Amino acid sequence: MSSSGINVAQEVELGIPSRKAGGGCGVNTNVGCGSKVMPLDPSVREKVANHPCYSQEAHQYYARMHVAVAPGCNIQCNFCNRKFDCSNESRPGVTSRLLSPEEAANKVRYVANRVPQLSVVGIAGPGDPLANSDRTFRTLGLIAEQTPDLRLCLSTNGLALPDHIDRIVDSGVDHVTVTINMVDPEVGERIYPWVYFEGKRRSGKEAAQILSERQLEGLASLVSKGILCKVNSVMIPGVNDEHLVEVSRVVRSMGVFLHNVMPLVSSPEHGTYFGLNGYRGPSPQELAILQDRCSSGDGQMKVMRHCRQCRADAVGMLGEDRSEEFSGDEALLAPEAYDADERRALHQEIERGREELRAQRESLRIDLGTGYRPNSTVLVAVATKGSGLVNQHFGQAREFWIYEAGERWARFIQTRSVDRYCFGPETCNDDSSPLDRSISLLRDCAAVICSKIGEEPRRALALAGIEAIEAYDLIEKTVAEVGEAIASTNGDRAAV
Amino acid sequence: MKARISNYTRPADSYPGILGRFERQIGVEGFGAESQLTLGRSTALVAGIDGLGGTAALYLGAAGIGRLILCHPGVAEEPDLNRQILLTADQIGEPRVFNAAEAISLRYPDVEVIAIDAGVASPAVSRWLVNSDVVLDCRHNFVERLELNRMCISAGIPLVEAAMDAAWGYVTVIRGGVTPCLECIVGPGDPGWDPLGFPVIGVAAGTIGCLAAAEAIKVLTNWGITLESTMFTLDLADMESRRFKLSRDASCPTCSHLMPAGLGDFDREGRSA
Repeated sequence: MSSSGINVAQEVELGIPSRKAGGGCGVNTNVGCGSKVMPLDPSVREKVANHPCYSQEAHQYYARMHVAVAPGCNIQCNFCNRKFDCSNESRPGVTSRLLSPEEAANKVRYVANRVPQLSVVGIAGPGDPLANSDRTFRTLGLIAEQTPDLRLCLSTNGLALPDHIDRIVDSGVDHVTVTINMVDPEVGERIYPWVYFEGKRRSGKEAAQILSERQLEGLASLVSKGILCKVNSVMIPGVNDEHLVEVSRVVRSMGVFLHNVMPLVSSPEHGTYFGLNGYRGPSPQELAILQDRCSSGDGQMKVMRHCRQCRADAVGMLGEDRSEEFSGDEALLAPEAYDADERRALHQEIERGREELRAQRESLRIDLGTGYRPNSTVLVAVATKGSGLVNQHFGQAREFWIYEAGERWARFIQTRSVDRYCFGPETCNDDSSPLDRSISLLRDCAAVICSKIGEEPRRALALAGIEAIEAYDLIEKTVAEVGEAIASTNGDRAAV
Repeated sequence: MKARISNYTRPADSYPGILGRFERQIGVEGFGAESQLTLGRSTALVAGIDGLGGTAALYLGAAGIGRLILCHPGVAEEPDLNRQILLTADQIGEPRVFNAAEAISLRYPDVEVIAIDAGVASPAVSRWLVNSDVVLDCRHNFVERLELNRMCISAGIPLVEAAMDAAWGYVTVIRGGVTPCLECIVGPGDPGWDPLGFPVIGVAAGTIGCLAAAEAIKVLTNWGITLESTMFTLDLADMESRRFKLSRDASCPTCSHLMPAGLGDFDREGRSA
């Protein structure tokens, strides 16, 4: 990680933008207009600084891991199909194997000794952690004891949340994610066939009503205890897409820190109710529009845009899945000593680099989406391995980062994965080449910025109206320069 | 686990030309050419092509089904041959499902056969499942059976549930929200069940396989009376057979949400008992 010395800080991570429609901004273009960045409470700032899920900037430097200790679930969701022993699907609910709390703690120590970027350990399934509360809290206790410098995280559907607030606080968890897909039982009954509550299986509106009440009650308690809360929502077109703006408004009013609106992952291959019945996931464009609506206007929520919807046994940086590398027995059994020194040294180096870049970015005065948007912007795609740099070959990029670009303006929109909807050779040996897939993935972008690109893909992109630009520099700086150049050309054309 | 798929495609539009092949079964009272054409347009997914599933698939091919999806992981072993009648002795060590598909294709080239060298959890299986008109559950373990049951309930596809042990076997037909589902019947299954530990008289597997094929044909054509909400068991050791009604489980995690509130038991027409 010697390249970690260079990055542009993302101020949007450091405060809750307070947005009002600014002068010169149309209704549909008010994202980032007229907003101010309010300074974060120092304790919150400390909590998000190295959490890859809570900070887009941090996710370029720090890694996370999930330990799959929670097999059972107390609700059924129409978008979920828990699968064990599966290595070729990467989505929530999937794991290669189930771990005991002791195995999980051993694995955390094993991974921590080999992945110095690791900063967070979470329990996110494959079922619901709080529906397996003994296993979950025993695991958290062991990790806290054996690897005390790692942050602890929990992700839950919220049904059992009100019963476990004190244990969550006592176990040292400082981030909790609650998946909330609705606050209206009419919407909920289309998402949840049943919930299991107080010894009884309940269905229909009753089930959704109970779930929603319990989720909001639990959230309120967590916030009152000073736990940093994130809400995950699955965007299901035609079911809850419009409704999520209301969800965003409600959870923001309760003091939730971050809202993560994720696309429904849905095809028959996943074996979920929605997949088997032909419900489709949203396009990246539909997702970005909804995220913008949640973060502007009434919603005004801080929105996570870099989620990769990882597995219940994910390991590594977001967007890289090293779960298979650490799926062997040796990770579970080796009772090796824990060595936190290498990580501490690396984290200090990362933070020094980030601080330098923060200063550098401020001198460049590039707006990351919090101030006034320039009149003319375009979308550009970036090939990067992180660390704040354009540093990846086009042909090697498995995903692209999409920015809204303009004069001194670089607003991060989303990541798009070339392989996202391809699971294993039996589903993806259709006729489209990786190049075709990349081009169709980027068809709304004016340019793609990468460290290197071959002549053939460059020509193919040009035919699709996408300019290929080679650079090895700070992402935001390059994005803003490219955006300014293209936007001004567009302006000239318009004048002619 | 990576699924390999082979496609044994039937000649386009060959079907109407071979109606003559089926004149003996078209003549069965109540069956007729209409049922035969329906079969020719239908897709059946047979999960497992052991003695039971292989026999069922073979007879569906003989009956003139349009398309068969076969899934089964792994290579043939010596002890398979007492019942896996689609395989030959020289195919030991080769992937079962491709040879089974080949065997059906050789006999009935008009049937499109798609063979998936993987178990029920494979993404390829659920992709084909949604394009099937009936599913036959012939797997040898509860985990896969319950997964197949869940997907059929979700996708609204009728499931012929057939199983055997030693010389005994059972058959029933499952329709989500109407009949009991497999989970209503067996709950979580038997966690101690050893998929390769139970003995098999080959002819018992074949017999139950024929019964499963008969149920699938009835489900597809609406001819005859199926075993919906009814369990049929047969023991070849003493030729004792039983038929009994099955009840839905009002707290079944897989299908209870498809039940009108307050009603537990249904007869085979879906009326409360």
